[in-house]
Amino acid sequence: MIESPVRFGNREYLTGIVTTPPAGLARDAGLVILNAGLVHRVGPNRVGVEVARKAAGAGFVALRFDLSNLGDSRARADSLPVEASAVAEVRLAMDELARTHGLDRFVVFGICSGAEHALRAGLEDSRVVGAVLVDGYAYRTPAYYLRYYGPRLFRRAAWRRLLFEKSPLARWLRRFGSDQDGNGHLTAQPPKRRFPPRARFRETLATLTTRGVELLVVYTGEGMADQYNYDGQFFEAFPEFRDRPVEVVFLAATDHLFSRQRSRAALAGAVERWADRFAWREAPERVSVTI
Amino acid sequence: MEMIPSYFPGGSGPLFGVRHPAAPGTGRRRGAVLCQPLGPEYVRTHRAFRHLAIQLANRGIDVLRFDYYGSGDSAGEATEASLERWVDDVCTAAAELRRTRAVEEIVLVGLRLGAALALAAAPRLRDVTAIVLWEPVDDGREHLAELLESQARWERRKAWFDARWDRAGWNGTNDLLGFPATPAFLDEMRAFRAWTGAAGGMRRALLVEGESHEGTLRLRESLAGAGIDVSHEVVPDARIWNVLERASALIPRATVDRVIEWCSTEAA
Repeated sequence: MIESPVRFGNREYLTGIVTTPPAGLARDAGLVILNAGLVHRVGPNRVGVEVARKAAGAGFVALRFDLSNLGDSRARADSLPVEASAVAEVRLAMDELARTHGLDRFVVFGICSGAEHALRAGLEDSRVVGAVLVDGYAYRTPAYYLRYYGPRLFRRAAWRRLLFEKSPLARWLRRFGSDQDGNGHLTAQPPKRRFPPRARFRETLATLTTRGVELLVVYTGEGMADQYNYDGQFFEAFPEFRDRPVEVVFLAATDHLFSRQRSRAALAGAVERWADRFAWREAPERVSVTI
Repeated sequence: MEMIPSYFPGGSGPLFGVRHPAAPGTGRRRGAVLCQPLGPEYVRTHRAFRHLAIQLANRGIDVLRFDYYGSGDSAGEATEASLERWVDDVCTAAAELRRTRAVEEIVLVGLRLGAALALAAAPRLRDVTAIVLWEPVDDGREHLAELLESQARWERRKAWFDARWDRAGWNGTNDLLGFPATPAFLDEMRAFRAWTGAAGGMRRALLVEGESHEGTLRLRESLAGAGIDVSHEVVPDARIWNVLERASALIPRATVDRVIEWCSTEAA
């Protein structure tokens, strides 16, 4: 496979890396990989690189790029809110692969906030025929609460945490505490994520799957422990999508940053297997050289 | 300011780099190769390095920042990592900068393990006259002990969680803060000493750290003993690599400004 840098958008303000499959056949859809939060295009612990290479091995032309003002991409000249600018830039990425590789169907891959952008792009651009949503939106079920609180009832540490860390008094006292954790690291925690109401997410899923968009929904056991904690939770929350093109993978012993080598391999492997839903085509000569 | 991403040939496979050509009309012939740290520190400091590169180019210095083999956007897998190969990569990056821009002398700027790799590579590069050692790692054994301790803390925090899902445990792996370290890499790290005693063409060094460390003081004495003019400075925000979570958005202004100033004026 070949990796090459690409710059695109107005005055080439966006930067990315295109990974192309070995010569010959390629899938009839391209893969666009988005930033996970603020991490630049290689992804947390390089998971973006591993996914792009595995996907290219499975036939996808993959473009992983930095949204504006992240990684090596420059800031935008306008003041579009990030939700809108991200979708506009996913579209530019698809335009770029259309121009250079003759593709007109795309899968958008995102972790965390990237998954949220991928969903929005899918709603707004009919060229999106698939999305890989890793640690995106999740919704609790009665069985979730049973699994979450059940074991904690018998753990002394959980009670201690409830009393000394989560109680209103503990939260008030923490205002006067240190900005370092127990390891001497400075802490700058991200704000808590907000998910849309369940009904709106259901509507989004319905719109996409009715259009035939293939969805691979991945949850990490640890990364989403506060929202998702057992295999099958997705379809218990949304049973009407069992017979739709939705595949759900639960990577139980995996953290949000894919810190384990086997976690990264598991994610890349899931994408590789799921790729079989997309047809092969003769890979054309590249339409133009970008850099 | 122009920024040119490209791949260039490395000893084991293509290396990814971003060139920042010097602002036109500055009339300087100085270049800088930026040697980034590894693992999570690389992710946390990427934005700071990009900012540093842009500002150095604004001050008339041709800059190349790059990823070592098996890291970032460069070819190869992390399991192929080797300190010796990475030192070679620093030399290759310097050659690339020389090939693309007519620089007469080069400053190596390294953070943490990147500083160690720069220091190990410098004696092999005649046109490297100055070096910035930002929170440098000097002794591989000590550095590895720190990494293993951090990993052990991480494992302890995860222990209850992992035990629920995988009672066999994870300890058989060599994951080192997200980096799949092989036994060969760990052995290499234990034996690694950045400073070999040879100054090569180096005449000046800036040692910058967030708080003074015994290891850095030892390194300062060793460099001075080899005839290098060392400026050792403590700048509180230099420990950017140690900031968690949203740190990829942070730029340690005071440290970056000092490095830029030193590279543009005092490094000559």
